[in-house]
Amino acid sequence: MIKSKFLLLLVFVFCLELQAQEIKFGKVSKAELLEKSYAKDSSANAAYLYRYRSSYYNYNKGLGLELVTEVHERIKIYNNDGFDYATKIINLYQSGSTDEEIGGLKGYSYALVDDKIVETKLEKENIFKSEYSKNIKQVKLTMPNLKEGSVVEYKYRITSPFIQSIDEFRFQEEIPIKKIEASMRIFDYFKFNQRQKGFLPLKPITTSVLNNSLDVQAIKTEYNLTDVPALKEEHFVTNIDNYRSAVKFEIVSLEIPGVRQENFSKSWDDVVETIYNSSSFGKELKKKKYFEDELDAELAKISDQKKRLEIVVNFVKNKVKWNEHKGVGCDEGVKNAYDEKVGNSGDINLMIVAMLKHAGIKAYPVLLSTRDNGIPLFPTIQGFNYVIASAKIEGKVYLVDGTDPYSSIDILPLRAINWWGRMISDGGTSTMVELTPKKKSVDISVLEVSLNEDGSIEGNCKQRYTEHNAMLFRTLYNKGTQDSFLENLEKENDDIEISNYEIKNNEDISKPVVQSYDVYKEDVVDEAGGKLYFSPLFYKGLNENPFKSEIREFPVEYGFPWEDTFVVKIKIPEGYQVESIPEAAILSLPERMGVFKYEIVERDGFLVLNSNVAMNTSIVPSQDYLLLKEFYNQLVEKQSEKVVLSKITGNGFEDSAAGSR
Amino acid sequence: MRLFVPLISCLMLCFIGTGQENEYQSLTLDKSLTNNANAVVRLDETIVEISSKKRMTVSKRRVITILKKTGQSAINPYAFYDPVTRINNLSVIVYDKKGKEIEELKKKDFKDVSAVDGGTLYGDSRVKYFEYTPIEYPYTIDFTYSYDTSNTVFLPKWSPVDEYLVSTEKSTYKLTLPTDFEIRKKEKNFENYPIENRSTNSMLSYSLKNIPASKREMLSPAFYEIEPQLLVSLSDFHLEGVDGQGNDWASMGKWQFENLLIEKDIIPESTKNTVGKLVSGIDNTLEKTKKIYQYVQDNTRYISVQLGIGGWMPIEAAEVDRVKYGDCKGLTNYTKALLKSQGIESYYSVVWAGNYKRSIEPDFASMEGNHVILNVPNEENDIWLECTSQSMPFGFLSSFTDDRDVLVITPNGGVVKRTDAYLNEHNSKITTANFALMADGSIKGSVKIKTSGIQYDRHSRVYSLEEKKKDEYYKEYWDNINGLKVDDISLENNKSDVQFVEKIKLEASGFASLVGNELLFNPNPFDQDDFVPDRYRNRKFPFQISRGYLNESEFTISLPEGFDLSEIPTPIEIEGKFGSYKVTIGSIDATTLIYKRKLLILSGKYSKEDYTSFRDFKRAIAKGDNLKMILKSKI
Repeated sequence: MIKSKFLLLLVFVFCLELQAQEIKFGKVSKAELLEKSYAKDSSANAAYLYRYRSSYYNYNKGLGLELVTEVHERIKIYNNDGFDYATKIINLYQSGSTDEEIGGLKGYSYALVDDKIVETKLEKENIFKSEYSKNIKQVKLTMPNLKEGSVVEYKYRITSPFIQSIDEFRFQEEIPIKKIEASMRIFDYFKFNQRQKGFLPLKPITTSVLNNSLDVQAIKTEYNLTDVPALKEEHFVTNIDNYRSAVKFEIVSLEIPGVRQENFSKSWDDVVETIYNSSSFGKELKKKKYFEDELDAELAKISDQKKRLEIVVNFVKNKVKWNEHKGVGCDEGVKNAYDEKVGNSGDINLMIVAMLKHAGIKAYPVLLSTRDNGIPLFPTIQGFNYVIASAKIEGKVYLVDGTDPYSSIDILPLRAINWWGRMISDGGTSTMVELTPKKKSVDISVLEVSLNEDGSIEGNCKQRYTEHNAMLFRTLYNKGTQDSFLENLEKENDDIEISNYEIKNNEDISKPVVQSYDVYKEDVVDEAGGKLYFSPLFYKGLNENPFKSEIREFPVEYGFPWEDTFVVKIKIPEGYQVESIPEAAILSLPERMGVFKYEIVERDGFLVLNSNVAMNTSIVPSQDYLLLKEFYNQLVEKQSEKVVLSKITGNGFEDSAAGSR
Repeated sequence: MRLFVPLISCLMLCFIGTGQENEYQSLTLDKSLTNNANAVVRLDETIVEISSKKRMTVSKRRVITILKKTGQSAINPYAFYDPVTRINNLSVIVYDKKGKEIEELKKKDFKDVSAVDGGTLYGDSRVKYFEYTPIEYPYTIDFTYSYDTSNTVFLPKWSPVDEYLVSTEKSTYKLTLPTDFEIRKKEKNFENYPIENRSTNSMLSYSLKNIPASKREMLSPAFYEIEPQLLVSLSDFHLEGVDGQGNDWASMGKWQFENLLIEKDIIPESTKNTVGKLVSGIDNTLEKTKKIYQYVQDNTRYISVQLGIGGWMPIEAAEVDRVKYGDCKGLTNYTKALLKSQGIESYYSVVWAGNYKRSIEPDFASMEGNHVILNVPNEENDIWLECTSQSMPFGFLSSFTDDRDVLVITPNGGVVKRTDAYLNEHNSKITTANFALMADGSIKGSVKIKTSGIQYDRHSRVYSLEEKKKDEYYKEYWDNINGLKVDDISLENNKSDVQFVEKIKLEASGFASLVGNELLFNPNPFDQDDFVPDRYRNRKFPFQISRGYLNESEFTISLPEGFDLSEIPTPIEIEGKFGSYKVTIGSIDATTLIYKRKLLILSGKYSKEDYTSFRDFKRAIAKGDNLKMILKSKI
């Protein structure tokens, strides 16, 4: 009872507001043109003053049901740098003979000249249509007569035959939005889902309305927002779109009594089922004739399940190369991919699942969304765009992806590490699987150096990479010539000079990568007042804080937990003694998310430094950002602290005077 | 400049080449071709057949062996076309490393997309391309295609040396034309290559074999300045429905004026009046031009629309006047029209824009260039206007179009002129600062940076950044200072003098390091030049300093109480052919230091032998800028 009253009240308030501030196309106020900057964010170069979208279904006697989307946008351009927002690109999809159509496109730009509003119409010849690609037609326009301070607005209507695919309602852009009015009307015939993402509190208002074209009831969902802040790009974010406020509607089923009954996806299980039952998925998993003979030969005499898993994965990796196409299902079909030696992610990883089963290992496909596709917050078919394989051995689940030559068991390519996926069991039901690695990727360097008279150093460095660090290293090392790799390595390490380079296991992914080289670096030791000063990490330390911004809206995403260890052994030159060395330090983030340890000791004519940074999490929440920034600040400071060596004079008591105070 | 392939390897290649079956095997490629190479061009063949002024057929074949993944980009799997260019055939054969055919792609396997980049609103050029997923490396792609076009103003040129890290086994070029046609050609940088020329009266025929891959070297000239190139042009040609003639820049310019520009500069009476009012009462032409340029900057913006004679004809001035946008051609022509309405003469000028100073070929006329600027005659000192920018100072060109030969199109014909140069002292940066060093190693103070010339261009970009980005910019600019906090930024963009002034108040917690009872600090936190170019054991290319600069700084540093200055470093003074560097440190009293620095880098072209000494010079500067001073605690 209380609930329904509340709803009524909301509706009432909403109606009042609508009447009070109705924004009509073509009616731009002087106040809007006079506005010099966006009140709540002066850094904005432009802002949407108004953004209207209404999507609904219409029954067209000749063509059947169509999805109509009406758009009206009014944009204020504060300065030159906001001019880009006066250009609009509208994509229209086409598939075979059906395509989306645009209609009612109108636009005006407004400027204040001598205190009068001057409007300029967007002419037909300034609207460009082009065939962008096979499936996309583009309509591009840019508003005429634009000045700093101008307001532009346009409206159009898209009529789509693809009634099931409703474009996401985006409520946040890279510039602020003053007012949003968005609505979706869906017939009672349709069952639908509606999911939200982002940080904005969204309060939809739902009412029941009559659809005139079919004379049936429809549910209208409305969103009214004001002063939406701009979404700003930050470092260490895998995909900014994950944080954009938006709503996605998905049609679950269509039910016209006595006429038509059709189910679409509604829960994760339904999505999985739909994918599983599609011909490019479930059926492909059952095929095995094409590989049996060859694979059996490889597996003969090996009984250990983990070893059999490795053999299958390597067999597929050697056999079929990834064509860089993503997909949950097969493009070519497993058999074709096997014969042609090329396939998409579906071809390759479903093949692995089938082979593992054949090899007597419990194996399941895992559906996921790659990083560029965003995090699948809602159960939609489009939410998944990729599939990997998993194997269950002695109760433990292993994840594998055969598309990348340098990924291995439980070390997925970065594109596939995107929060979580869904593992499909034999019956078609599914469970959630975490994709983020738990095991730390290690980078250990041991550097032995001696100092030269001229301020240079020379020595040897041995470095070992494991897990994801090894995968990334191999990808980088193997893609081009060793020469260009070394050039890059020299540059990235503060222009060291490398010789006698050796590498182990750059192809053998079962072992860590080990590289070793002789190193020479100029001008690293400062001499002043007869003393030598140097940072004992030389080129290995971090000398700049990667986090510069004072605030941060989003979590810091590393992708995987990691640990960097540097051991530096420095020979103290003849005739010198240690005057001072940096103090040992331990620094820790809350809950030991990150730990930094630093210690340097003098031992048998050497200085031995141990510096260790461990990030035990792959994600640091935004509320801990300032702590993380400070962590790096102190780390940089510590790592740049200097060792001081002084000359041993004849009697060895050079600084006795100072020392006695 | 480059290594000649020893005769013995040529013989070996010939021997391998005889077996038809494995012609394109890649197992026994000569070491001289695989060294430093991600890919080897086995054959690059261009055949140009001109049958009439309006018809040209070009057949291209590129056989390339990809050795490594990064070599993929050298495939060039593209065939471009537009309304007057038709692609006749497209085919691709893929061979494995043994030279066995493993795949064949036909026309239908090609994708067909718009070839317009994201920054362009509209253009009608399109591209067909193919994708191939290698099963293993190395493998070889044999890509053949041909096209017909009625545009004969752009004849394919021959550039037999491929990009960096790609070697070439064989490259050939053949052009045939009717005997009564006149063709002009220019051979550039041929002298260091064993190019074979078998041309006759009615045919051009060139070939070059066995060119090893070369590596990019820092500060080397642009590739087009060192690579061999054959440029060709017809004296009578055709461009999208218009016939043309031109043997030199004068006639080429005249043709362009008469066909692309004439009568495009008419503006409505109302605009003429507006502009007239704007300049009324000013009798100085230069001042009038300034006003009109300002008007263009305030009222238009850059939008790329490539229409009209293959993208070479500007939109009419009247249309730009209506929509208030245009591309470089449209906006330049519009500015020209506005100036003309006030009786000021100016000329549309075609240029190669970009950070490298690329000139048009002064002695070889053809359709070239990628940008348009405006030339306003002004006695000895012509004014050059960049009409696509809303913020560029009047008469300033920036490193985008400075110091290069451009084609100035006048009604009487084309003239080659050189744009303004910004060299050495012109590009100055004066940094002054006043800061206090505290006992805990932190600093606090204010810095002022005044820049002009090319350095104005680089620094003034910060002006339009939003606050957060400005803050990040300074943290990046002074990345040598850990824990930097920017307290206040005030910027002054003095366009009329082309001068940019930055005033920054800042502090930094971890500036000086406390070592025992000593405070170690760098007296120059704000004007560091730590760029030392890469070392090459065996440099192949000459190097150049395109612009040169002068950086002067003076810092007043107040020292904390309770410390003794152990020693004031002796002055540093270096003088050489690349410039000079001078640092002096003095003290006013016990707690105040004055740091002075002057660095002059001279522009110029230098031989590869000079590179080491230039690098040593830069090393010495980096070392000098990294100078450390020590304060000893009295306690």
